[in-house]
Parts: sequence; C-alpha cells; structure tokens
Amino acid sequence: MTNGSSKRAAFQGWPFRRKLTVSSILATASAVFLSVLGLIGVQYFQYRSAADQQYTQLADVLAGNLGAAIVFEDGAATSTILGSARAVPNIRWIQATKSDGQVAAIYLAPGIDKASMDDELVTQATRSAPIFADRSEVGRLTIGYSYRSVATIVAEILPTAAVIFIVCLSMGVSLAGLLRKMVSRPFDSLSAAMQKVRSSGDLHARVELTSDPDFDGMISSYNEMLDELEGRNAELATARDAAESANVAKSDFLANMSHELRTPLNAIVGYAEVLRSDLEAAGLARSVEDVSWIDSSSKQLLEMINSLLDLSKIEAGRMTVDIHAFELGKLLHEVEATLQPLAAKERNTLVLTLDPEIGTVKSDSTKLRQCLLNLGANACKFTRDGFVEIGVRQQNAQLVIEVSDTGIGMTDHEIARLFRPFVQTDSSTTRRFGGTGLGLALVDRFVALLGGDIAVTSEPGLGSIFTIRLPLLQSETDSIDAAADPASARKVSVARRIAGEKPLALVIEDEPSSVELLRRMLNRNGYQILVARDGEKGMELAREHLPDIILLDLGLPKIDGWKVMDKLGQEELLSAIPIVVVSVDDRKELSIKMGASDHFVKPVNGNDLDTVLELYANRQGGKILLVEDDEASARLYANGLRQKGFDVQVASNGSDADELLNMDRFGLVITDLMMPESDGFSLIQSIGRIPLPERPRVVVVTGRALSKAEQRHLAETTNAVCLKAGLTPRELVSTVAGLMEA
Amino acid sequence: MYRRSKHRQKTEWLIALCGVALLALGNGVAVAQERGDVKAAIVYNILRFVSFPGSKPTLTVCARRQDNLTEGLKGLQGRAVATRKIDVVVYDRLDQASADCDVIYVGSASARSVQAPTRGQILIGEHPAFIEQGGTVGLVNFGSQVRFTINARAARNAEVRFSSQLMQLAARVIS
Repeated sequence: MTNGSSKRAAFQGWPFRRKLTVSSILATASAVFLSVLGLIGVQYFQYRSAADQQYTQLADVLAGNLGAAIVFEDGAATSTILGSARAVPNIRWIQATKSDGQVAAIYLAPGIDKASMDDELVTQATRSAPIFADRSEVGRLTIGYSYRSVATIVAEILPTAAVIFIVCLSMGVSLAGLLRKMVSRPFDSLSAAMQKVRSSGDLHARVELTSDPDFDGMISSYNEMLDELEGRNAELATARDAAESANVAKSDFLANMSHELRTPLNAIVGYAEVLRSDLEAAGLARSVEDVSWIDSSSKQLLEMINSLLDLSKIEAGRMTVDIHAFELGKLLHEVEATLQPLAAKERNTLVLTLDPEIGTVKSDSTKLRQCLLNLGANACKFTRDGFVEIGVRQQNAQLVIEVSDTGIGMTDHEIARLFRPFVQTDSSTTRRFGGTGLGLALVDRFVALLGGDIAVTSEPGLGSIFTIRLPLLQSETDSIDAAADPASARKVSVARRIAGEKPLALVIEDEPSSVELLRRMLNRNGYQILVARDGEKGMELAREHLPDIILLDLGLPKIDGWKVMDKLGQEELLSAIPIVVVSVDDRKELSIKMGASDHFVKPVNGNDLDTVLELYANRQGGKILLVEDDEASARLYANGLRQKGFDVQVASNGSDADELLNMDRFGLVITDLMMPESDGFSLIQSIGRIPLPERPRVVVVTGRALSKAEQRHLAETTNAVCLKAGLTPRELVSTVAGLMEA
Repeated sequence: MYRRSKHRQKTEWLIALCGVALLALGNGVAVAQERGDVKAAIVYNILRFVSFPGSKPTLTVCARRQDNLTEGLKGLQGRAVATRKIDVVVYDRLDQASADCDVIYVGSASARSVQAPTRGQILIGEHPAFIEQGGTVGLVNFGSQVRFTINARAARNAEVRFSSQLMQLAARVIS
C-alpha cells in the first residue's frame, strides 16, 4: 500500500514531458501485448477449426481409397493405405472397421498404443468417414487426433510477435516524441514568454496563438492577463509619477527651506562668534555670556535644521554614503573633544577606550561621527555625576562601538519607541532635557545605511548601553604616519607677500551678512577684498584684478556658482586662481570635481578658513612631478598645485616618470601606487637611488588599503602618505607646500 | 495269434487306407467347391469395381458348363452390381459365347482360344499366363490365397474402366 502510494507520488512528481512519454509508451506496449494475446487466441481457435476440417477431409480421402481393400479383405493393403497418413501431424491413430464392426486395420502413431486410444489426453478429437464400395457402405474409417497446443502456437508466434512488439514500441516512442513536441511547443513558447516578462519586466511580450483551440484558450488567457497587468501597471505608473512629483516638490521645498533657514542662521552664528571675540577683547564678560547664549542657541537651531534635512533625505532615499578609509582613533578624539564640554556640564566623566589593534577603517566618517556625537550627547545629557564611556573594539569581523552611561535608563516600552523620529521617551523629556527627538532616529538610519545595526540595553535608574555593529571593511591596525595627515600641513609658514603688498581675495556672494563675515575673516588674515554680488560681476572682477583667491557662494543671481567655476576653469589666466566654495550647498565632491580647491559648508568654521587663507596668501616656486594614471585626478591635483605657484609636470606611469626624472630635476614627486606598467613602489625605489642633494621629496597619494609592512616601508622611503578618499586639492597643496618649504 | 493278427493287421491297414482315401476324396470335393465359391465372390467383387460402357440393365456373365467355377458363378445370378443386375449364362463351348456377354469366364483355357474381347467385354480366366495371352483379369493361386492380375491394356481396348483401388490390390498389372 505504502509502496503503491509512494510510486504514485513519484509518478506525480515527474515532469509533465516524462509522464507523457512514459504513458504513451506504456499504452503502446499494453495495446501491442493485448493484440499479441488476442492473436494467439484467434490462432488457437483457427488452428482447431482448420484441424477439424483437415482431418475430416483426410478421413474422407482415406475412406475413399479403402473400399476395395476392405471388400477384398486385404489387411496389408488397408494398413498401407492407413499408414500413408503418417506424415500428417498430430494424428494419434487411424482405424478401419468393416461393416460388421470387425477391425480391418489400425495405424498407431509412434508412442501410441491401443490401450491409450481412448485416453482424452492422447486423443482430443476424432473424425470418421464411411467406406463405400459400389455405392454400398462396406466399412468405416476413424481418425483420432490432437490439437496443436497453445505453447506450440506461442512458440511459433513469439519471434514474429517480438518483432511486431519492437516495431510498435519504436513507433510508440516516436509518437510519444511527436506528441511531446506537439504539446511542449505551445508550453515552451508560453513559458519563454513568461520568462521574458519575468526577466525583462517587458509586459508587451505576447504568445502567438497556435492552431490548437485547447492551447489557444490558455494562451489567450495569459495574453489577457498581460493586457490587464499592462493596464494596471500604467495606472500604477501614473500614480507613482504623481507621488514622485509630489515627493520632488516636497524635497525641493525642504531644500529651499533649509537654504532659507540656514542663510540667516549663518549670519547669526557668524556674528555671534565675531561679537563674542570683540566683547572678549573689550573685557565685557557679562555681555560675552549673553552672546554665548545666542551663539549656542543658534548652533542648536542649525543642528536641528541639519538633522531634519538629513532625515528627509534618508526618507527620500537621497542620502548617499561615502565609504573611504580613515583613521578611527583620530575621529574618536574629535568626538571626545566635542563631547567633553557636554560631559563636564553635568559633571560626568567621559571615558574613551579604543582597541589598539584598530587603525584605519573603511566607512563613512561623517556619518559615523554624527552617530557617535548623537549617542554621546544623549548619554551626557541624561547622566548626571556619572560616567559616559565610548568603547570601540573588533569582534568577529565587525566593528563594535558601545556608548554606555550611568544615567536615568529606560523601560522596555521606552526602548520600543526609541528610534522613531520626533519621539522622545516621554513628552516631559523634551521639557526637561530639550532636543528634537531626531538624534536617535538619525543614528538608526545612518547605521542601517552603513550596513550595520544598533541595539540597546537599559535598566531604569542604572543606565543604558547603545551598541553599534558595523561591517569591518578594513582593519589595518597601524596608525598612519604623522606625515600622512593633511592636518600637519597646517604647520606651514605664514604667508609672505613680496614687497609688502597684501594678497587679494575676491568674494562672490549675494548675501550681505555672509559677505561681512567673510570680510572680517579675510581682514584678519591680511587680505584685501573685492566683492561681487552676482556671478557675472564676479567674472568681470576676476578678469580685471586676477585675485590670489576666490571665495565663491553657489546660490547666486544671474550666473550661479557652478557656472562661475566652469567659466573660470575655461580661461587660462583665471584657472590659475584657487577657488574656495563657501555655501549652504553640501555637494563637496561635485564642486571639487568642478575645480574648487576646497569646499566649506556654511556656517564656516573660522579656523578652517584661516588655514586656507593662510595657504594661498603667497605663491611658492619649485618643480613638482605628479605621477597619476587617472586623468581626472591628475588634472585636479596639477591644477591645485599650479594655483599655489608650483611648476607641475604630469606622468601617467612609473616608467614615464623615470624618464622625466632622468631629464630634469624635481623638488618633489607626488605618486600614486597602483599604475599600469611600472607601479609607484618601483618608482619610489628608483627615486631612492638618486644621489641625496638632488633626490626629490616623495608624497604618496593612494586609494589603496595599505598593509602594516607597506605602511612601514612608505614611512621610511617617502615624506608623506595621503589617502585619496576625500582628499581636496587644497589639502594636497597644504601637504606639498609644507614639504617644499622645509 | 500272431499270424492271424498279422493278416488281419494288413487288412485293417488297407481298410484304414481306403477309409482315409475316401475321406480325402470326399474332403477334396468339398475344398474344390469352397474354393469355387471364393473365386466367384472374387469375380463378383472385381465386377463391383469395374465400369462398363453403355447402360444396359443387366450385366451378362457367360461361363462353360464344364468349369468348376460355373456353379459358383451361378450363385451370382440376380445380384446387383451398381445399377445392373447379374445375369449368368452357361454355354457348353466357349465359341457359343455371344457378343452379349459382358464377362466371359474361360476357366483354365488360354485366352487365345477365344475371340479377343470386344467393346465392353472382359475375359476372366485361370491360365497362369492368362493376361499375357490377352485376357483381361486372371485369377491366380498363391498358396491358399487367390489373387488376381489385370491387363490394363485389354481393359482400355475394350473401353472398360477398372477402379484404381482394384488396380492397387491386383497381384500384377500389365499395361
């Protein structure tokens, strides 16, 4: 039973084509087998009937010849005549009797004796005929015989049946193949159409009708289904377009609003800072405190606006992730420096622990910093007289960051609401601790964008632990040589202008408050200032005065900042002027690509701008060989270096660089590591062979993850290593300027 | 006693011998009679397998009075052969036999001693070389058995047809 049902299940599990083939072959085999059985049956009965007829005729013939022998009582002649039938098969005996019943003669087939003549097994049938002489019956002849057995017939038929069986089976197999093709062709075309629709999403694909009404029904239904799907998709697309345009409108609105909100805030933050330094200089401590409140409140407001913008970007799927290698330790120290005042405010002890094995990692440093700042700030805010600890360790190829505190803690219910935007553990929290409730929601979204996850454990009254787990894309443990840090280039010399003439800065900015803020910063760094309120005017002034630096806003009347950059880049004289973008627009990568030396998002940090202004306050001389196979990067860096006054030659690989080094003398070589033909390492090696007074300094710019051994080797053989990711031309120029001056 | 008895013995032997001779004579007559009946039966059976031309209602069998078989043949008088009835006609001499005879029994005479059979006539005889002499059917003794021989040519000439079954049983057939 079980065996039968398992066989049935196995049959049901077969593919349709195999079922069809096997069924056809089985049907053919059964039909042929039954036909052969029938044939044997028919043959048997035909043989029987033919035998009866044959032996009747034989009896008649023998009787017809026996008349005289019986009449003359010639026993020998009678026996001879009876014996003449010995060649006829299946005859058991023949007996001739006279009319008085006396036996005249008997013929017995070999192996038969008189006693067994009446045995039904021996004699299956008898036929008799009268013996006539001169028209009167003189005796009777009887033949006893047997029929041919079924086994004999089967044995006779078997070879023919086998041939027929094989032929029919072959025909069955061919027929099954034909049937399969007949059936599978429409199936295949239907299946191919389905596959096409599935893989390409092209709902226009239709299956052609066949001449078979059965299949056509199925194909028509499928085609109709596609029609319906197409119709519904069109409706959906319309609905989606409507939703997308609404979303675009919303995003535009948010972008505009953030710009509109940030512009006045930029002025408030900037002026508060300026005012505070003025008041500090004037010794008005009371007023300094008041202005500090304006400063901190406006910065808080700016932070909230930035958070809102970030969140709306994430929700719209527009937030991009910039994965690059950076030194985690440095990032943590920056975070610590930012959080320290917050911790101190609530008399908390901020502890930072970093697994010494972790050096550079690959992630989006901006977003990771934001996450740590948000979590850290929260911990500091909700803890009083306690400990806040940020611990970073490596576990199972993951970067595990724990931010723990000994603060007020949370209940499970509060944890469940934790990562929803605009939600704080309870409404009283906002009143007591402030905040927008966006911080943790952003952390959650950022961590997800970085491919990680965040978990929380907390006990009310005891504290909380937030654990971020990120994929560890790279864990080179050695910290990068100090020379590789572009920040070290900030130790460059103070600008020296020949003949005491002040350097000239062109500010292209339409917002008066921003102009004034920049004016103060430029004055502080000893620059003369030209101001253009729109792009067109900016171009004019640039052509007329050829300034030492251009500070450019992007949102400008008439010609916007992007076009200004484009036009400046096209004019040879103007392309030599470094452009620093100062804008609320945060598309730094794009502006660097367009030719900007650096990009600062408003409100600009005074110190950062000071560094840049200091760098471009004077020009430097010296020959630099830039070895870089990527044309775009080479153009970008070469331009940046020329803007600083350097004479730059570019080689696209190590061997070209070798040639140039043989022909000329360079003060410094900037090289990539991965290049076709001869790579950076061999170039560095060949530079090492140049005698010392003539040997140029070497700066490596690479996007490659370096092993510890490579880092050590480069620290010994080069003067600086810069990571390509996020490296602005200005940062490279800073590094180079520092080395060329040394 | 002895002499008398010797004489008597001789007499007795003679008497016995005569007795045996008489018995043997008597017995010989009976055997001859029996053999004649057998031969007549054979002749009758032969006639059952012979087709004569024409459609006479009688089948005339002619024989000499002096022949032993004649008595036997007489016994066939009136018996049917196919659709015909046997009519036995007895003559004193063979030359008396007429053309009406369908069957002429010539006894042990030579076949040459009679006229050659005409259409529809057969000659039956017991001469050892009867069929060679032109007779149609010869009756031959094989020990105790009586067999017959057939001259197929003579039968054919007389337009008389012998059954193949008869030919098969014949001791000898010449053609």
